[in-house]
Amino acid sequence: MKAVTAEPIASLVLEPVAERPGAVRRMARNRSVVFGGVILALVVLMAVLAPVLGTTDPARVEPVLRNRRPGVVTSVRNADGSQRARTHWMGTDSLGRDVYSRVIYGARVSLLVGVSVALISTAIGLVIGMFAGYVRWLDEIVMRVMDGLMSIPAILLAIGLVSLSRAGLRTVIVAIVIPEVPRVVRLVRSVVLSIREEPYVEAAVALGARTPALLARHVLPNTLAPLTVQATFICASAILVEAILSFLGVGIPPETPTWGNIMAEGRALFRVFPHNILFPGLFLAATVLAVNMLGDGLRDQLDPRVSRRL
Amino acid sequence: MLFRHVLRNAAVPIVTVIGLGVALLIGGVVVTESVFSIPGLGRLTVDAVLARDYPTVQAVILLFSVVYVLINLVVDLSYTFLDPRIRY
Repeated sequence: MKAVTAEPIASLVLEPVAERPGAVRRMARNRSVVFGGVILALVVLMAVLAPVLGTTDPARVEPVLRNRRPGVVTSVRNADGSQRARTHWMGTDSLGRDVYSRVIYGARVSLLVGVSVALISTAIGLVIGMFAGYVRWLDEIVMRVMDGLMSIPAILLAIGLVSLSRAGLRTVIVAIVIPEVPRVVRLVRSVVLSIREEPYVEAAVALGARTPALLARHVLPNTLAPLTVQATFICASAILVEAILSFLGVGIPPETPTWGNIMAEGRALFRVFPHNILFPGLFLAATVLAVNMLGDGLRDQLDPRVSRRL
Repeated sequence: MLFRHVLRNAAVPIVTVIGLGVALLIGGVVVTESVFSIPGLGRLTVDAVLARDYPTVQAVILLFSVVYVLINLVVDLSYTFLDPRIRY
């Protein structure tokens, strides 16, 4: 008897509605997000922990140990006179600097450039793009300027901008940001143009919302998903462009270890000692691949319309 | 069949990508000419930057941009030949 009465009561308890898996969970299920994220996390960890990963001073020149092959074991004399064995896992370059240490420390510069360029250029592009898309009379003027900037190939514009001021990290970041801004502006503008026709924007206007508040409250959130995806691709291309600039010798000064600088250093002797090009090249390729895969995965998750079309 | 019917319809996006690829090529030229020391416009650009020779830098960048814009103009114009439905 009891069991019969208990049954309907139990069925009255509301079953929890099958929740849509949260954003984080969905990301974690995407294979390319996980793969890219893990590699990227490893590179970040490597950059942060550079001093404790068995590296030596990446700028220390040891003329006796020039151009050693990867894996060579050398002995170092400590301050108290005792000998200590040291393995150069990636050999040494033509000035006798440890390539392993330089590659590890080089990750710092590459990641710094990639992340800061992505953040700065999306921030600038977001502001310009929103006003260009929303304020009609600004649109024509801004977009013509942006078209003008886009008509110069990105790498050439970066090289030209670098030549305008002293070489250094800040100059390189600025030189990579400026060619990227128009691309962000175009993306944001196209999103804003479709958002501004939405009924809720009209409603906000009817309720007397001021333009800056309206942009921040109702338009900005819609641009964030495509902007995040774009930011990862900008990050990948910024890492590449920084390496190209350093490789050409117009970027960050050669004593700073960056992947491009290590490759530039090894360029002259790369037929005899390919390790100078090989190791930084591998790290560069792996990092850019990881960032791109992360971006692809994010796009699949955040912007399903585009991913279905591709 | 493939060439007559498929290629004709697939031509427009292909040509678009070719136009965009020119930008990459111009960037690549700068690197390649420096690596293999070919005395071309790319080498000239890098040498001019290293020598702080601004007029040369300006001129080369202007020249490359003009070439890039012209090629993209040709790409846009070629759409009309490839797809008669597109008119300007």
